[in-house]
Amino acid sequence: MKKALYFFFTVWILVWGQVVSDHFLGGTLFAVQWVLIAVLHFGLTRGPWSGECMGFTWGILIDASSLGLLGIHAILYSLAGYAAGMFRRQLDASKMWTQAIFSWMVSMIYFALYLVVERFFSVNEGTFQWAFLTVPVMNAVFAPLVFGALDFWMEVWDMTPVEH
Amino acid sequence: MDWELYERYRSTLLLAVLLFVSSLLLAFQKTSPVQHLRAFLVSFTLPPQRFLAQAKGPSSAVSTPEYPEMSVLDASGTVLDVSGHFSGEERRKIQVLSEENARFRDLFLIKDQKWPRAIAARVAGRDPQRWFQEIVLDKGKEDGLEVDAPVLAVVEGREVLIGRILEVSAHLAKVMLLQDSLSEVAATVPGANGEDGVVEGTNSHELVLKFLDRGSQVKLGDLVVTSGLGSAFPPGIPIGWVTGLEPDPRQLFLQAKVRPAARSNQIRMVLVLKV
Repeated sequence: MKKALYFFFTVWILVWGQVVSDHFLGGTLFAVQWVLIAVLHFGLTRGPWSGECMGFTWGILIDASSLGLLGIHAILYSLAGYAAGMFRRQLDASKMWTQAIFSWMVSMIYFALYLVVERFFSVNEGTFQWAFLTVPVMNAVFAPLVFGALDFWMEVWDMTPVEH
Repeated sequence: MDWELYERYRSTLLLAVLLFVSSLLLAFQKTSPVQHLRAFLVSFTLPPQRFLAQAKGPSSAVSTPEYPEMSVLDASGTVLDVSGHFSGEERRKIQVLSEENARFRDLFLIKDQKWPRAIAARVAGRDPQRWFQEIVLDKGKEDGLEVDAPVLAVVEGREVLIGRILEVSAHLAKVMLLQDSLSEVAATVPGANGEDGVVEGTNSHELVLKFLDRGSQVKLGDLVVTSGLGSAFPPGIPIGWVTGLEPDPRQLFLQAKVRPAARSNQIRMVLVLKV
């Protein structure tokens, strides 16, 4: 029950936070993808299973909130969560530089894939925007903050994963 | 053995399932089950969007202002200047609210006078990846919005066309703005022998008025309005102003650059006409 509540509140707080953030910063060069960073956190700390489940859940809610293509963020965030999970043995997620550089790299790949997937499924052609270059940098800058906040949130709920 | 294999690859298996489900959603997004799923999911993300939309201004043009007026009347009816009683911050807030209220008053005035059946809606959100092509309104099918309905904004006391409804869910609607490269509107330039053309979006701030005759009398600064051809949009609604003229790439026609009358990132409230 406690675990379910922890995931429920985590999903909701992040989704609503992202909606509020997009309301003020969306479309600018300074937007931050809080949810994508959180997906990476879940992948890196809990493994690919958690990463892709959270990625899919968050992705589909973000798709719904923007009335965009339903499923595009679900695909990309699932992939991001899986990738983060697969790298969790190779990366030390507690290091700030690792968090920042990994977030930057995944964000760049995310935008490249976004254009590809949108080209397949949307009647609109995806066009390059400068935000595709600046947003990954913003994600990298804020990644340590999000990782720290989510670590603290896990401790509050006593949900810190135990490695076997 | 099989169980070990499953344990080893269960994440990859789950990823394959999630990607398959997402691809199905993408491929069949116009179908009824996916639309219902979308409507269900939207209901979870709507509260912050509604809150933010409402926080932008009063809900109607005649609502009581949150801050007092700068000028007040004394008992004898004389106007008193009380601006000195407010700090700079308060004066700024009063200024913002006053401008916001004026915009709403214009909008509802135009609704009452010209489009009584139109539905007023707020801009509830935007897809950051499609910032200049789409906006999301806080009203949907249950409020009477329909696909392809023209969407107007009010700029300096006059209605201007900003796009049309692309999709509607129960409580939200997506608007394709004129700036979207897929947007096409039959248009005319009233002062230039009523020349007709088609206004297309460019995925940037500018629009293009295409198919003007090479001997066209259209000139810089001319107003471009809807022509009403095709009956998708009522005639005579302003779209923007001509800011440049050049031959089209095939040299067959002239095309005009058009600056939209409404800047897409300043639109907060709109009128949706009945189709």
